[in-house]
Amino acid sequence: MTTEAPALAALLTDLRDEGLVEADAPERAAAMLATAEAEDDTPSYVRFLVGAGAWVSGLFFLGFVFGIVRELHLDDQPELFCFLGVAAVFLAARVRRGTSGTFAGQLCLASSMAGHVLATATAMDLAGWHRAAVVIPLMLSLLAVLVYPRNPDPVHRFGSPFAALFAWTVWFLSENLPWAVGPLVVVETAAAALLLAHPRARGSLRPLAFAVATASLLTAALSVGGRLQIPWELARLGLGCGLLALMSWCADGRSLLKGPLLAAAVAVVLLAVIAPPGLLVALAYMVLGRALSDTSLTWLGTVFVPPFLSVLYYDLNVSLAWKSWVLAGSGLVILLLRAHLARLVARSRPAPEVRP
Amino acid sequence: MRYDGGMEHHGGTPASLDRPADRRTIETLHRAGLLSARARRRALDLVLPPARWWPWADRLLLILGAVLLLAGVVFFFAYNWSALERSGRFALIQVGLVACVLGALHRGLDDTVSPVFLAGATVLLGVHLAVYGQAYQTGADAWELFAGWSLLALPWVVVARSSGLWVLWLLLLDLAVCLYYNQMIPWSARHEASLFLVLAVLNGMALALGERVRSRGASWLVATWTRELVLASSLIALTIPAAAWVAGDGPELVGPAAASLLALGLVVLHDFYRYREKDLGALTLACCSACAVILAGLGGLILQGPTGPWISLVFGLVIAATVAPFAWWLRRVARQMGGRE
Repeated sequence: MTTEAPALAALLTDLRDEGLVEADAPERAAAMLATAEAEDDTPSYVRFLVGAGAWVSGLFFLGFVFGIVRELHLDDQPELFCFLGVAAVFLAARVRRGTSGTFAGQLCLASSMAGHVLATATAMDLAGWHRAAVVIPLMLSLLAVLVYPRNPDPVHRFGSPFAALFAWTVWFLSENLPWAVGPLVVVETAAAALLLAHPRARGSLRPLAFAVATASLLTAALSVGGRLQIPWELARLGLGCGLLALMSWCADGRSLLKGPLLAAAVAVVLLAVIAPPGLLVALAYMVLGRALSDTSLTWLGTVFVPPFLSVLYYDLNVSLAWKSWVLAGSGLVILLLRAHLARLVARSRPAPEVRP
Repeated sequence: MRYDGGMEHHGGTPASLDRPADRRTIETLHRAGLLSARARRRALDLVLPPARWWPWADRLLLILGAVLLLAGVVFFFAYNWSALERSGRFALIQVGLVACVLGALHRGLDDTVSPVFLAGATVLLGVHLAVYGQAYQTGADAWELFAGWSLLALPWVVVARSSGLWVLWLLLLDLAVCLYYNQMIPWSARHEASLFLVLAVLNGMALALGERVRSRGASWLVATWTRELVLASSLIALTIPAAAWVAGDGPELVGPAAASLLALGLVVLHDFYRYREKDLGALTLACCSACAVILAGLGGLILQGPTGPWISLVFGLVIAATVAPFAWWLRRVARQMGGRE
């Protein structure tokens, strides 16, 4: 069986042939989609290359700024450098809006990154070190909110919100606020899912959705194994219900209490009880990515499944000998479940016609 | 042709209708009134019917179950070593090994599960060799374990026709080579650098062999992640000594050899992956390698000049100026591959 979805043109043609849409549906769809907001069609590999290059460039730009500050003894003017940092961010956004050139885009990205760091570092200095910790996420959030609509670069639209969300996570953990981590993960996951799946969500919000999704996984990962006792109960409930709701949405109204979906629902409930919440988040992105035919999202979730699975087994309160049995046993159960589901699926398929 | 399947399809040209339909597009058309509720449901059934979830879920459960089972076996031996009698240890491993091979034969070599059985047999083979070496204190070096492991596992890897298993086998071979260098060859900068060359040639040959097999229609090698993984390892092994040499710090002979081999390899890669196989991921990896070497060379030149904070600014600009042309070229190639130029 092919796992490739049909092309939109072929799909509309099939629907037209079945009498489910008007005869001019493909043309109207093309016109409709043409009026939608245009988006950068750069492949993800290239964005990664551009982002990495810009990030390294940004670091060197910062090194230059700090070197100049030291040489010219300008350390006692943090206000000036805070202003310069913010100005660099907005100027980069302005220039980026007006250019489609790759070199200019690289420079704008690097300048913006350097501006973010400069503005945040000097804002910390201005606020005083006793308030420094909260200034970082506040400053980054402010810049992210203000600059997102102005800078069309998708790498920037990913990096800026991600930096802000990651800074909040670090702040919650460093300030001993364990109660906030669970709700943060749930809210981030829900926001990412909505931004990706809601029909009204615009294409320009896709980098933001990925930033939020990545931040949610990292928040869950950073919260594992730390000294903080994080109350995950409500978050588990929220994530478990969310994953069940997602499965129901993917099943498009089919009951979760029948056939293979029942097995999946039971597995979700079990994982919500015993697994690290990050595993539920990673699985949610895998399922959502599959539903949306979004390989990037699927891979984002897939990459985080092995670490969270490792945490699940590492944290089991049994001896090392028993852990190996649990590992092997759970593997065997999953393989048996797979065999059982394969039989269910085979039984549910219509039998091929037998020609006389 | 390889392309990011997660791209938005809200482009401004009718060519966007040729891209795979996804759920968001269907929902957008439904909300706009182009699709009725019945048409929407039918479209969703065509795009992502329930049956299309099963191959994905099947593969996921298979890999997850097999990995957990194998991990349990390996950890069992790791944690219960001292409690087991020697004969018991060998018996358990051999029973598991034979069971995996019989399972593969029972399912048939064309079955999707057989490679998983043979992967299990391969892992257990390594466990067996390690247990044997420990039990009888043969005095064998670690490289001999990995070399023997890869040699004995080769027949299974060949018959399994699994890209994942070939990657595992190649990893074992690379480890054997690295350990050989580490244990058998007196350390020197030249020998350390020559290890990179050997690994690059080894992985490059594996890549070439894989492409040849793929060109003959081997369906089991369709997934391009194996190509990109092997290509990345080969390029990294060549780029490190080449970059060190152009920066002025590399060993003689090996550095120029790596740089020459890399230059030749990049030309071949460009020709092959742009016009024949059309793999943007592979081209991006090649560009990353070229960027690294160019930047190493330019960085070495800049550092020879006057020092000061201006160096940071210059190098920042140099990085942007180096990456930008490659990014521009890759975007252009992507558009050409997508038929939009």
